[in-house]
Amino acid sequence: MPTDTPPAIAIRNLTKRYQNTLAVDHLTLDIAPGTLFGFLGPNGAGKTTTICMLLGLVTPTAGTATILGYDILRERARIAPRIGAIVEVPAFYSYLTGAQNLDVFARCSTITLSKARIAALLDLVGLQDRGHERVQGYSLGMKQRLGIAATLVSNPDILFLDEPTNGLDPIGTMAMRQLLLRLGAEGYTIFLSSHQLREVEQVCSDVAIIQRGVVHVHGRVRDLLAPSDQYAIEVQSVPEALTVLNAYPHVNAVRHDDGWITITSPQQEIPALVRVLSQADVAIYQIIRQQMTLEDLFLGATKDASPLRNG
Amino acid sequence: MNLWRAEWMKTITRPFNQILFLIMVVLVVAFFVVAIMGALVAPDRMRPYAQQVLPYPQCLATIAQVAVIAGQLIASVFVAHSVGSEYSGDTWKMILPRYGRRVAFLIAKMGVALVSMIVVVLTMLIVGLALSWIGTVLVGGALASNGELPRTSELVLGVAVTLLPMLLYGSVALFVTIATRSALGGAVLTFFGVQTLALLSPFYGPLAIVMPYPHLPNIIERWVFRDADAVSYVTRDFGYSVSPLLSMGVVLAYCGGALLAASVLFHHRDMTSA
Repeated sequence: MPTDTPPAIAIRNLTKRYQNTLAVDHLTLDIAPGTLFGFLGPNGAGKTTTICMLLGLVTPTAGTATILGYDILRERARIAPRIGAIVEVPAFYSYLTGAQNLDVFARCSTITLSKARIAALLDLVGLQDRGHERVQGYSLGMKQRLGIAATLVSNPDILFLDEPTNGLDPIGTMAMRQLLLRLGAEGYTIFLSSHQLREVEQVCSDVAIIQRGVVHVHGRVRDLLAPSDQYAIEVQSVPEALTVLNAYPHVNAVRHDDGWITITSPQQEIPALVRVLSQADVAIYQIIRQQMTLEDLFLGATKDASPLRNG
Repeated sequence: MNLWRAEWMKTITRPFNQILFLIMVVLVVAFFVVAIMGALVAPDRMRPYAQQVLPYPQCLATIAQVAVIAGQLIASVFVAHSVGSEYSGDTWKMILPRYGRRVAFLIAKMGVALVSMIVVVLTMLIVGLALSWIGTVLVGGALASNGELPRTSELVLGVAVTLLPMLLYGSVALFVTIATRSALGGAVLTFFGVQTLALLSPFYGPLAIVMPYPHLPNIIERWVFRDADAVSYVTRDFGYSVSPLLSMGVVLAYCGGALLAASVLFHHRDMTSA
């Protein structure tokens, strides 16, 4: 992030303690404008508590944060019209229709929505034919989609989305992913908390992994998941291949699975290794360069994921 | 204003509120229908009574009785449900981040509650007057009594004072519901708590001057029912005559105190999920 661009969200030593439990521990993050930011962590890590503090639903024990340059405690009135949020499962007034719910939420944001705008929001999330029905008859997926529409009523700058794909089927998840990418392309800053690592990997440009209220990993996804020097090679004869490869200098080859070997080697050595194996009449079926996934990163960062410690 | 309009939309659309509204009106209807039918079916026993309560302005006393007695319970339930349902439905998290001041939501809820109670009382008044007129025609007798008729200002004061118990119960229900985060807890604790205060009023002694009861009946008996016997009964609880203006001040102080306590608690409390 260029140093002269103020962050959309700036968090400094944000802390929340509930009696003997430290839910968020001196969290510090900067999120640039226009970023699709993934906020990951196991259950009880402090993700929802962090979002609730930023939204003013929970008062921090210590620390500060600003949203669009405004302090979250002292300048709430300036922040409110410029954010939209879903916290956990979106909640609605079940006796009102989808359209009426959007109208109520808009009025709570001191906005009067036109019928055309309501229709456009419902159309955006695929509820154009169901907006006149009471929410009590909506499925979980429909409520999730209406929740997204509710976050957009005030045309905000920043969206806080806590598990937006909860309850969605694969088609719904894909539609949600496309919607998030579209919103990101339109310039929204999106703070996305999710367990769906694959979705976050495909959608987010930046990510932070939190555990026990502490950020363990933070950075751009493309940097964190850069290709490694590990390769998986599928061969016809594993013992022969292991003998040949381990005789080669600076190569560490281990049996991975039936027919597969994992090696660690600089990329420029790979053609030579292939020649050596071929000369030894070891048939090679495929070579795959290993790339760390977000799941690998997540599991590595949270490998000691026990219940929240008492601090 | 948009907050108020949002709250108004929720209030008039919520089926629970529609039922509460209907209960109040049905109670008034039921009384007059029973009085009329009784006078028609058993004229020897019931007609004198009907001819006493149906004409104007005596019918107003009946309407006021229903509004005051039932209104205390309805106001407790109405406000407790209006606030408590946001906790149970987890909708606070959807609406609070949208506006900078949390207390504004409580102000909107109480404002809309007050307007709703006014609408309910006026509806009861109109329906009651219509039924009293119909009943008088059916049962026989004068549409209006021969005595002095109340002035318009006295009618307006009477309607306003009829709302006072609802305001007190509603204010206390707001605080209790926020404290308990429960509509049921708010309604039950409020109604039975304040009713207990009322039942204990003969035993307060010198403390009676700072308690909501007997101040509330002091106002109602003087400005709504104008019942001298009832006023003397209330005066015994104080030990001396108390001005209705002083009583009004004490009751409004309790309402204000409950609203202030509710606002402070609501402002500072963490809103975690239900």
